[in-house]
Amino acid sequence: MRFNLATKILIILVFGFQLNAQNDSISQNKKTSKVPVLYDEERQYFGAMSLTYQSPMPYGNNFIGKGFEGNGGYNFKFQVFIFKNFFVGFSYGFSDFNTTNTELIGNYTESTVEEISGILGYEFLPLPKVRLGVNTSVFGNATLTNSIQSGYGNRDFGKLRNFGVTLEYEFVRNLNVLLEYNWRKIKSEIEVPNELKSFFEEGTYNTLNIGLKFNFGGSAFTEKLSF
Amino acid sequence: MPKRLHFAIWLMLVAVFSCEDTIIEDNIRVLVHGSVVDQNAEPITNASIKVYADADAFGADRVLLGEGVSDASGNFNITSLFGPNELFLVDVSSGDQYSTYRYQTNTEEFTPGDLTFNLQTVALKEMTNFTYNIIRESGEGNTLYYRFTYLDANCTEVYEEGALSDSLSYCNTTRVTGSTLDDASPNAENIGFIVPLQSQVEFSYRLNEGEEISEIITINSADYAFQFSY
Repeated sequence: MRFNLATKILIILVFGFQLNAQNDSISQNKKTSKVPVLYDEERQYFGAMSLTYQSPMPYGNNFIGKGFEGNGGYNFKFQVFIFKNFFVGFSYGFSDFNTTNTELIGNYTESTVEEISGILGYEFLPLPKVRLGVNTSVFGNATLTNSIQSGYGNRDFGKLRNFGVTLEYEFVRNLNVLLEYNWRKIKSEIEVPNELKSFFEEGTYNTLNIGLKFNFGGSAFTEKLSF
Repeated sequence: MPKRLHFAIWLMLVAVFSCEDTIIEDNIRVLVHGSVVDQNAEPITNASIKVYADADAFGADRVLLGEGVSDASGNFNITSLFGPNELFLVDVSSGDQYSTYRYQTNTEEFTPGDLTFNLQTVALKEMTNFTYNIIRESGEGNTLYYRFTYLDANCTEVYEEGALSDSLSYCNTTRVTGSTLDDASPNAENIGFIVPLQSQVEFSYRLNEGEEISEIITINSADYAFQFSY
């Protein structure tokens, strides 16, 4: 799936405007509908923190897709609901990889990708206790720390782009079990010969995350600002 | 005088024990490519290509930056890590049955603009054992002086700022081995060295104070055995 930043922001804005336009009807529906998809005042939070284990899965004809094999990792997210279920936040995590084809990428045995980004997203409420979210990265950075042999290593840098979908179940008040799938792309800054440019200019992998999310507060950020 | 001596010793110690680590640079890869053939220009499959960096200083390790093998056509394309070091080495080999080739340059002084090291065609020679037996049959009191002159097919090409330096390279050099056989040690049995197949070995000998005689031996079979008696 290929989403550039503008497309991702557009999707978020469309959801935001649609929500705004339906604000009145949602308020009315609240009393009649048991399953308001876009907003439910009783299920509104101020923010959330999540910690997940992630399983990275390389794909594509690039240095990560052809040269790496996923080996695990962790992700931490902090988010604040700005307006209704529209949220912003940041994400920090790392993914460990083993290398599988050193002839293609250089002689290192392991690589750890440190992933840092801002996030924008939206959460839907399709069922009671269930949340379905989409999120995208903004201003993401990735640092690949490569281990060569004892005492030696080097690092590669790149811009991180992420698009994720989440499925949550609130099994205890304020505590959700979280399942997340992410499409990640690193626009690498690695200097290479022309023959290798297409192979190294980006690296792609997906992650499957599972973990817990803790929600806090009872109203969105903008609602706290209104008097 | 003692002060100067101390200073000189101190300088020598600094020079000998100054540590410089092998450097692996961030955010860069180079491409090492070429092809491997034998002495008959036939491609060698699965030849080993290893790329090393070495600061060539006390305490510095030789670090393997890239490795791979040649394909069925003898071609290789190895993506390698890179760094500015005293020694940047590419070793090409194909087991014990072939000679070896080394590309050597200094990447502190030179980095190719296109980040590509093109080794072009590397020719490895098929090698074999040359074993000789020299037996004395003429009785005590006779002394034989002998030597073998043969080709060392292992090759190191040294490049300075991208250009081959003939003076620093050593390829197809000749080697000499020999000894003296006398009453104390009258025979040389099952002594050997490695030579390229189809190459020639010059055997030179002199019995007592006689004239030196040379003969050329063509290595036309594997595990060549040479017999000589005097």
